[in-house]
Amino acid sequence: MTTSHRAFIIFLHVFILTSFPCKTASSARIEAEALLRWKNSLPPSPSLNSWSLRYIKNPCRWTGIHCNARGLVSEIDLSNASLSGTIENLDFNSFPHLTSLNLNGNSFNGSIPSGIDSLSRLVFLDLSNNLLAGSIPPEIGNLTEIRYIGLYNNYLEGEIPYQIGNFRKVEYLNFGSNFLKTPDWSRIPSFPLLKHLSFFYNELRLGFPGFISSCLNLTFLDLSVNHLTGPVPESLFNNLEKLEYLNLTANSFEGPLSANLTKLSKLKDLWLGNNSFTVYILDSISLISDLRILELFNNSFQGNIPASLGRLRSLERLDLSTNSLNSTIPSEIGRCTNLSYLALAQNSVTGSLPLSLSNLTNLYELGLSDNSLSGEISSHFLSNWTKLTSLQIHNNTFTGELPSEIGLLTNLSYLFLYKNAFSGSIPRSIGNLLNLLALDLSTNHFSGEIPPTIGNLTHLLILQLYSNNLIGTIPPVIGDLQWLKALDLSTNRLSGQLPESISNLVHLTTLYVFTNNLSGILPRELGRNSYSSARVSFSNKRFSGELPPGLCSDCFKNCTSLTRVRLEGNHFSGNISDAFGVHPKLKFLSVSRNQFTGQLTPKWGQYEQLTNFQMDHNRISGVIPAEIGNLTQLHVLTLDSNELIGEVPTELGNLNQVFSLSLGNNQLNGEIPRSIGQLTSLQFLDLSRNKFTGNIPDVLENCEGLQSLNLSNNFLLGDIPFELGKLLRLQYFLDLSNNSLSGVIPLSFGKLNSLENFNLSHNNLSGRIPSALSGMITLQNDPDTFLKDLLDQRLPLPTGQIAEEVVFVVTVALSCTRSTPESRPHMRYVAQQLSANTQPYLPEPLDQ
Amino acid sequence: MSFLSILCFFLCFSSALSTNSEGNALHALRTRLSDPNNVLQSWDPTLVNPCTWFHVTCDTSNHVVRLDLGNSNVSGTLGPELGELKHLQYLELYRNNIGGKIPKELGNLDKLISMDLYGNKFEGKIPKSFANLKSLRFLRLNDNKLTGSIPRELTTLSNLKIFDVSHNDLCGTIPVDGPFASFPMESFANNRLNGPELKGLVSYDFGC
Repeated sequence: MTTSHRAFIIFLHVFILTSFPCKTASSARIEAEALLRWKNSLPPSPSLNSWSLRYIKNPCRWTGIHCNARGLVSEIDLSNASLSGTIENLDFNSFPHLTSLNLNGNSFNGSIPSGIDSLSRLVFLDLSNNLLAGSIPPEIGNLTEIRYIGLYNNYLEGEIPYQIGNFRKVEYLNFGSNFLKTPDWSRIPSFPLLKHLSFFYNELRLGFPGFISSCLNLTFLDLSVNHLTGPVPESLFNNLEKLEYLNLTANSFEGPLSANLTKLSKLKDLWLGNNSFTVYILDSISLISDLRILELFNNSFQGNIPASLGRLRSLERLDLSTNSLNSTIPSEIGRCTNLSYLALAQNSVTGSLPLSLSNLTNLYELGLSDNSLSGEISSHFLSNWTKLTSLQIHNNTFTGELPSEIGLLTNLSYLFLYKNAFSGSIPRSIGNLLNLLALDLSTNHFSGEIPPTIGNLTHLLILQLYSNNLIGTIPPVIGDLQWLKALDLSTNRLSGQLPESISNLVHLTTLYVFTNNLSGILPRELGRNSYSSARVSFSNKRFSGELPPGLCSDCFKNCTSLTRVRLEGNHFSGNISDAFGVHPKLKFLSVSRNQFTGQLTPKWGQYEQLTNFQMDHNRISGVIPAEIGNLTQLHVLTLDSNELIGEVPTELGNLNQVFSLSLGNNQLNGEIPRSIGQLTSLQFLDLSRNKFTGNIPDVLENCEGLQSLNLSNNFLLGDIPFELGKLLRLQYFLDLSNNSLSGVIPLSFGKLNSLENFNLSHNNLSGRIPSALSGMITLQNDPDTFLKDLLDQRLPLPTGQIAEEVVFVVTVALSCTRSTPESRPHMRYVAQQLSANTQPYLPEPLDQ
Repeated sequence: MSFLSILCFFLCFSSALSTNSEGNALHALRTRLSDPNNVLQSWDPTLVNPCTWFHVTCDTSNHVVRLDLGNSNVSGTLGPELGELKHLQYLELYRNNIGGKIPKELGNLDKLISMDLYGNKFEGKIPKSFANLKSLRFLRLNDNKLTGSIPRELTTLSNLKIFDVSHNDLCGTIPVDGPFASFPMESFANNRLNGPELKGLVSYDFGC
């Protein structure tokens, strides 16, 4: 309860005692009965134990009830009394002398009854912090004596009734934290006595409420978290000179900051963040000399951080983050020695930190991230910033070593130095920061070993050291960080084995150690204790052995929350047939490039949410089970470079979301199923290096999104279907080489004018090379392979000078077939070139 | 106001988990695009890198080398953050409904081999910064709403094999130097271009 609120109560007592000298017993009885009726309508609550029939003669002694000199109820104060139910059964008619009703902090639901206007003497009404819903009844405007009204934090909705304009005496009005909508503001006149106004966190739209600028006594104005738009009217700055608190945060106000803002010379708190204010931060803002809080974050301010801010000696909180400020940090900021919160993040601030910042010994939070700051973090700063709880200077270009004085910041919870150019070793003193929750030193040039003192940081939730040059082994004390959720040590030069102790980290959901020089087997217990593992990645080059049973048998089988598994690019071996249970949530699986053996079981058909299934480059054998066709969410299926046999099941045609299908380099046989024509999302298809027989299915024309088609190195027969020429999106590959295809090259291929790689070699094709192929203007400039593939395969490949001449002649010939006459060479030029080239004494042929 | 600080904490937290600028750039792209076919569904910004996202291809160092979003029915605009994809070789955004200006930052992608933006609703000028794309072989900007002249700086792109700006609203004359000597006239069709440049006679932005 605020002091002004208390003053009210005292005022009310005096008011009541002097106004009503005589007593009215029957009225008192009516009041007591009304209170009891209301109590009986509410769920039982011990706070109303004193309200009983036994004491009906003296309700003035009941909890929360105060009476005037005549013994009539003048105040009901049931704030924070753990009451629920509704106020709809409170008979307001029975309390003609009530001046104060305080139900703040209960769980009343239902609506505000329109009958509340019977309380015609009400001066103080506080229904804040309940569960009241519905709209505010317009009748509330009849409470013309009201001086204090609080409806804060309920579920009130609908338009604010314009009838509140009748509150001619109101000094405090707080409708914050509801779902109230914009009324016709023009119907609400000014409130001559209003000091405190809040519409915080409602659904107000359109422009600035007009009446506010005429409320000349306002000291507190909060319109934050609404959807208000347009400029802030000049009249606000010109009229409201008593304003001490102005909060317009999180609206869509726009335009430049008016120079008249400085007329609000009594302002202490100015919150303008999260709007669309533009141009420059006023130099003159320093004229508002008592400013304690200045928040301008997330606007469109550009230019300088004004040096004049250094005059604001009372400043405690300065937030200029997320703008387009592009100056250096003025050294004058160091004069604001009361600053406890300084945020300049997400600008384009340059230069090094001015030494004067070491004067800011009261800083609790410092956010300078996402700028272009440079230079070193001197130990001088750190030894003065010992109160810091959060130091976030990531994503800049800071250099140099991290001074061991970092260990003095023992209050730190968050230390984010990532994405800078820090070098040297991680100081051992980092182990002093016992309160750290998140430590991120990733993407720097830190070298040396991970200090074993890191094991002291037992509150850590996040530890990110990836993308540095760290060497040595992972210290086993890392297993002491019992609350750790995310551990990322990837992309360093760490070596040795993963310590067994990592298995102790039962809360770990992210474990990344890929791209290191780690080797050996994974800890046997890994995953056994952790049933929340959601993301693991070991992709290293040297892990070997079988997967730990904790991950494989227990976790991989039982972790129902597992969503992603990445083990690609290791030397894992072992039989995978039975390693995986059923994870209904598994979305992403990549075990590519290992040495797994075993077979694909029909169980894989139960991973209904799987979108990515990559098992390529292993030694998986057996057939592709038809149940794979049940994985209808699949986008990527790569099983290439294994030892799969048998036919491709027709059911794969059900995978109508697959855009990448790679079955190459196996021992698959039979015909390519015609159901492949149902894969209409397909962009990349690789069936090469198998033993497929039969014809190329003409239904491939349905896969019109195909960008790459590779059917090479099979035993495919018959004509090349002309329908392939309809695959106009083919861009990267069309490779049908090394089959037994016969007949002619379809003319339609000439339309494939985006194609960059085209290979039909090593077949039994006959006839002429269609001149339309000159339309394939994007073929990559690689004449050797291109020509070799086009030449008659029955002749030995030309060598030496003959080869050079062939290349030359074909180059000239092709230039004569360019599609536009303008770009073909002149006949005279061609004749010259050809005749010159036949001169035997020319040392170099003109083959480009 | 506590929910604001929770939001702030959440934002800080999630940015701490995301790792490389390439993933951030792609995620920023995702936020700019409307994606009715859900082709970007797999683009999870909390992953350590974007290499497992669909339609994104990385090299062995986990750098993004291909972005394949042709024919994906996405709309929206591109932003400067695409310039962060420093290792990109193929930028395939053809046949979508992407509008707005082509960010000049695409000129930072100096490893780019192919840029296919054709069949969209791009407007504004062809960025001069494309002259930095020294490896570029395929540049297809046809079927958009591009205006202005063809930047003369592009004549320095010696590797350019295919250049197509047909069906736009370009003006001025057609360059004749460098690789432009060999591009067919179809590549320039359906614009307000004034034929090949006649050196010294007509300024190249004649008619603009």
